[in-house]
Amino acid sequence: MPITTPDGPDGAPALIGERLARLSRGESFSAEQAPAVFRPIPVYRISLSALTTEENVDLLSLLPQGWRYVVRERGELVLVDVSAPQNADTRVTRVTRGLAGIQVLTTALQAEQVANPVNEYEARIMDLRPAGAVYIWLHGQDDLFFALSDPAVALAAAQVVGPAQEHARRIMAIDLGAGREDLGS
Amino acid sequence: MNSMQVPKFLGPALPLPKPQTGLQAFAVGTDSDEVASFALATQLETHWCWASVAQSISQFRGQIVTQVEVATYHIQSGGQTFTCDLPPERKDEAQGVSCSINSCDTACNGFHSLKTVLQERGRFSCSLAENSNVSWSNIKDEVRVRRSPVPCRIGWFVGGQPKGGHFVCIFGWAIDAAGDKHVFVYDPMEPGGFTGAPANRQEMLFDDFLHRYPSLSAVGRSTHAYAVS
Repeated sequence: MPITTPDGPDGAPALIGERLARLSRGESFSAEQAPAVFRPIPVYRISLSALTTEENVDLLSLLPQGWRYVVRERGELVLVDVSAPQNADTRVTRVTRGLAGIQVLTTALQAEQVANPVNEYEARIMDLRPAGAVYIWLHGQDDLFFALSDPAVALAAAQVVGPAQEHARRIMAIDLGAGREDLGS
Repeated sequence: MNSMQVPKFLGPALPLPKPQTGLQAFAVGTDSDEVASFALATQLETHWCWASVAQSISQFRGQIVTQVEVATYHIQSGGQTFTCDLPPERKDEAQGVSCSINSCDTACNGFHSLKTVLQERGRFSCSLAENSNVSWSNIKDEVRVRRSPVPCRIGWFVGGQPKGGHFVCIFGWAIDAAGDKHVFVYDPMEPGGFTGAPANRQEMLFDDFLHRYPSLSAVGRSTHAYAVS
């Protein structure tokens, strides 16, 4: 199989089911509507300091910061973020509803269709949200990135990291001195 | 949705384990509330979270305005004379607003104070938190009593030092079956792409919102919150 994803943390599906049930307000659903979960995708981020201090960010040195699950719930695709530092203390950190679930599946499908079937890849998510972008990242011999906002184009690492570095440098350069600590962008 | 094609490496979807016995029934008793009529359009520029939030608050109060108009009014209130604009590829979304200069990136599309922007538009009521955490009771009251969303600033930190921030909006809350507190959040960056699309609905523990909001610097902390009028 050319594209794989690693197994998620133990017990994560049970925690996801519990979180969704806790906020369900007791709404019932048929067996066909019962929540179902796809395989998780590990989430990677690049820190602000790494983006601004390292000219060439070493993607190989990055460690997964969590897991993103696509859950089908009552006909809706929901994203559930799970953190599991050192594969312990597994917890649900965020549930996202709206277009995000469809975006992830659509982009992942596009990535699968474009990827070289001979090569082997690990599917990842590169979350550079504050820089305005989240990508499906196929990590392998060649690293390919597909933006959720524009999945048709396969990007190289430099095309992803470069704009994020520019954004990060702008953030780091801002003076948040007295009276300016309430600014945002 | 059921007919949607799924990549092989993610499928098939497997049923989630059933929650603990009794949890579903107990969940009926959860308390929650949200400002259902509030919607937030995602930001149209890379640094326009403040324009997105101010636009959405204004529109919620019946004042139809674009993000370009919010940004331009704010810049001109600060003494500038030019008009803010979007890049050429997003002109259509600006609905005909034209650009007078090309230096917007250094003025309009930058870090700004949402408090100031709301004040200029007559939408600022008071601060609920200034360099501190907003309280749960404030969130509950704003949503349930005043039927208002709560704009909040998430501060980013590098090495313990503040480095930038981002504005989001809490529009609802819930206390779940186990007694845990949750907030419902619209983020001008969710989903990304700078299209002005409706923001995704995020649900997270209130404590995570205050101390571990997802951000470029790994985690962000809630630093400011405002009541709007």
